[in-house]
Amino acid sequence: MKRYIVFLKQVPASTRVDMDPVTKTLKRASAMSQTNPDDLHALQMAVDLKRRTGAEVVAVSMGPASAEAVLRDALQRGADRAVLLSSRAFAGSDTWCTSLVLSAAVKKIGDYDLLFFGRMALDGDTAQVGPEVAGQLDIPQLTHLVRFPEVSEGKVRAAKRAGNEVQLVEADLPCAIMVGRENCELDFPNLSGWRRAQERPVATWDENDLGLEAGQVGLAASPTQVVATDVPQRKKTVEWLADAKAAAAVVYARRNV
Amino acid sequence: MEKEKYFALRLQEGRCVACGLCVESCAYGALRMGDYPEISQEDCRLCGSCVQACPAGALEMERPQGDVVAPKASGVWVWAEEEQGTVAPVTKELLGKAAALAAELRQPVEAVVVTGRAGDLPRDLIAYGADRVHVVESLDFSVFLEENHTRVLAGLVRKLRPSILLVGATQRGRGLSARLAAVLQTGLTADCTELAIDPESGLLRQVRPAFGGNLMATIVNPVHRPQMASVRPGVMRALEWDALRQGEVVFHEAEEGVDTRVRLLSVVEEAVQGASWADSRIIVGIGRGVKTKERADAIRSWAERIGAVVAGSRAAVEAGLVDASLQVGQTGHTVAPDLYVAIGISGQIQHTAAITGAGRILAINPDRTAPIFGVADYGWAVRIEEALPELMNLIPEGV
Amino acid sequence: MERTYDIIVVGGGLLGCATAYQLAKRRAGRILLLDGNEVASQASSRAACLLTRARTKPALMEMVQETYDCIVEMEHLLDEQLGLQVCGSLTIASSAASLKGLEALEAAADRFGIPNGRISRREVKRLLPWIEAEAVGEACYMPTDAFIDCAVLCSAYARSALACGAEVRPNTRVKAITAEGGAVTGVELADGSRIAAGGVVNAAGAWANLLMRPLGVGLPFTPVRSHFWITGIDKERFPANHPFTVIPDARAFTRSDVGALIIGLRESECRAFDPATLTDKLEDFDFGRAAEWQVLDECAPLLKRYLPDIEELGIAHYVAGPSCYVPDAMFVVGPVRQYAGLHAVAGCCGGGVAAGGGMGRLAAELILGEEPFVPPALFAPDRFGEVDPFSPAFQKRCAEARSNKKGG
Repeated sequence: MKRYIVFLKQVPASTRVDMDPVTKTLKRASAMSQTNPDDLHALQMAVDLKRRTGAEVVAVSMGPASAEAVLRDALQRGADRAVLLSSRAFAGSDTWCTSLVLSAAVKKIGDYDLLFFGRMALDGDTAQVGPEVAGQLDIPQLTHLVRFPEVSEGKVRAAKRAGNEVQLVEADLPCAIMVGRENCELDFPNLSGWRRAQERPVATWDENDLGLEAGQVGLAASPTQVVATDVPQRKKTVEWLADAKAAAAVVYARRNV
Repeated sequence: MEKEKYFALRLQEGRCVACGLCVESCAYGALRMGDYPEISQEDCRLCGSCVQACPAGALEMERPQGDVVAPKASGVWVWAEEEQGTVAPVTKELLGKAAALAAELRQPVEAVVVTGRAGDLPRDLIAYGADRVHVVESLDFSVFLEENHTRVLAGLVRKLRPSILLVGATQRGRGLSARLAAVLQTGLTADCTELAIDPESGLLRQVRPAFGGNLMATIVNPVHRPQMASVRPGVMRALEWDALRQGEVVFHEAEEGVDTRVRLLSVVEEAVQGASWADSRIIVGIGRGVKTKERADAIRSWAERIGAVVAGSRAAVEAGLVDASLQVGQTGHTVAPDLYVAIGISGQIQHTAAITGAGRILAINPDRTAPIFGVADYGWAVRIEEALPELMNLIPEGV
Repeated sequence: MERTYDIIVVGGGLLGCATAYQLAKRRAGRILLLDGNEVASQASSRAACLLTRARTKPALMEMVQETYDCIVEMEHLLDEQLGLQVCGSLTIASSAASLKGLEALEAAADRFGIPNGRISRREVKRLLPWIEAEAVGEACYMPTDAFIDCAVLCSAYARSALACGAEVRPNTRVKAITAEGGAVTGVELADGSRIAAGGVVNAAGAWANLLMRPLGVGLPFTPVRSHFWITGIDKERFPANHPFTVIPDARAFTRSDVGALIIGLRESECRAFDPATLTDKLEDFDFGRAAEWQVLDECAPLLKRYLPDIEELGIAHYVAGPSCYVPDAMFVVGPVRQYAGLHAVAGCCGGGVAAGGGMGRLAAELILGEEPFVPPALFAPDRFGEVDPFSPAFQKRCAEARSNKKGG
């Protein structure tokens, strides 16, 4: 039986941030959350591949208890089981620490063929965690896929963009795949999927379950440290164009960008 | 202090004025206002927003770094990306920035190039600002594969211990830098827009956008080396090419072989297409203001000639101007093209909510007060029936 | 203090825009319409927009007819089509109780001259390719019923008001309605500036009671969650502009949406919100994310008879919004007696799109002292005496008004 592991992150529903004009402090627009959109495409690719190859799809999320919602979403959309990596000790983890925790979870789940990551998270925008996990586990990584990959006999074949060329690459399994929204279209979720998802258990693992020390993860163990945050001054005003020539310049300039 | 109760974020109640700003600043709903803010340790991600929001300095975040000090490291490195045998533009830009950083640190600028054939690359890298160029030349590396390049670079970094390593946030550089950071067990700050040396600590201050560009975060890497950052093309400024600039070229052998688990089968040139039209780089959105099917058809043929796809607002779909599968809006597709051209779209929230991810928005609409101009970067207030023929007449030659 | 207006309408949603239009068209003086966001961007962009003509209360039928009249009028005034979709409606009854309701509706339609007639199962199936016709007991077809894109309609009211001389200022948040000695004096904006006016119309929808609170007046309604689901596109099953349906036995309505099906469902216990918890923009407000599936789960068994694959049907979108419900499920239109010059147009009870033109007309007539075209006592803001819309008990009464509703 093949095993595909998909990583999903809970991110804020809105990335809008306002600066209070008087106190100059940050104000987040919304306290609501959602599943990171790229991660849904990663899940979809795993589920689509499962239909072709047969596999168990395991959804994994790292975050507070509320991130269970993301895993229920994943179960509804076709994941077979779900693991929540949650602990106070994980708070403040940067991408390196996050990839350490995820790698530990991968090892604990074991016997895997493919790891699927959304390319980028809405709130972090780093596009780092997938390749960092591949690096930590020392397995091949496929980034910037051009289309849906083929999986057979212990290998995955994919077309990937690398600068101005497209490479056809073959990698041995296990392998990590980074998925963007252009790689596959999402199926719409339905009610029976939701009902099924409610019955499935969601396992919760902390640092002890993963065999990690509290001091190896979280804020204190993270190589990078945020020392300041600021809202860029970007009062958006429209630039009025005088004529067709000006409009044409805007359109045609972007054509070959 | 009991170990169980330790949590890095703490409130000094004596300073708190109970203003509630911290609660509003939290994107994760981890703060609740009682008499004082209450921190939910389960939900808190220690992002530090509240610490900054607090006007009274009542919230503190402690980082027990212990006595760890950064290992000795020197040199501002730039990974030299190759583009058809020449130095990629982003590498020139990074060398320009590296020169400024290195001057403050009194350390050398060093470029590292892993290639099938070095050719003129070392000379050019020096001309653009490198004091030293490390070259690993082998036919094994005539093709860029993230796994192989990571191995070679990791080996060099371990041997030579640079203080800073800059990488272009290109398609190649992104996957490479993240994998490399994991292997080297160091921090990486992606997509930086600003880099500077902190005058007191000598650390690299890395400024990057987060939250879809709505927030700028300043990040440092105090004790892990190298301090890795990636920078998007076009952000930094390259130095003038200077053929007289002197530099040293050092050749190295790759210490490890290539990663045989990954094999390049072939390289093809092909137009890259997404799984759906919604990923096109230019999307032309038709609105109710286009009014007739003939005009919608004219827009479609224009769009085809300039390599754009045509979509439409819900109202345009309802009016039969665009197919339902091409609806952009809250109840249709969300799009994020490089350019969105809204023609005859008034800009109801149902539509605008789905296009805010676009790089640029050009709105063409006769009504200057239409809400679409509130989200547009460029506005052309003109009657649609006049705008179209003019715009079409101006298609550049060769298209 | 800014220059003086005769009337300031607070709220650029459907009711505010319709009221501004009805006032401007009557040359009621200098009219200013204000909204904290764009016009039509909040609850009015989240409505299902069924313009159901037949109602058991004659006054409501008059009001809906006024909306249809406004649409024709505005299409002339603005010289553009507003995209009214005359798709017809089907009211479906499969039980004795719902049949009684159907008969009452038919009688009302007949009295008002609204075309209607019973149709066969075969005909039902022809009109609604998605339906399991065997489940349909009786079906009444009303071919002149229609729906319209609510944001288009709302912005048309605003632009028509503009064309008749009113001023429209979006993205201008009103902080308070100001009053002195028992009479309104205008409004205070979020930036602290004030605008003077002899009359103020509170059409702030779900936010209306937040403006009333400092004045010590409660309007008799509270926001109650309404929602609908939109399936993926399937043009064969859900052809564009097939008739909308009302299925009281399933607590449901359906409507075509450019090749997809909108399904409106009403949970057995509707959820009211304390207006004090609302955010400035609805996109930031949590209507209860889990409701998308919990309510569908609760209601699906009822709808399944008619739409057998409801459980497998892909759901592309879920849209929730606040409908302002009044305990008697009738609107709130008219003067607020405690303050001279203060009026309210609110409490749409899920019927604001259909009746909005009429609600605006009634408000305008009452403000200008004209003969009202429908009996105003039905809609008087003070008909419940003193109420506290911020009390859970009152909010429960409002939620029950939706729970007990017929149809979707």
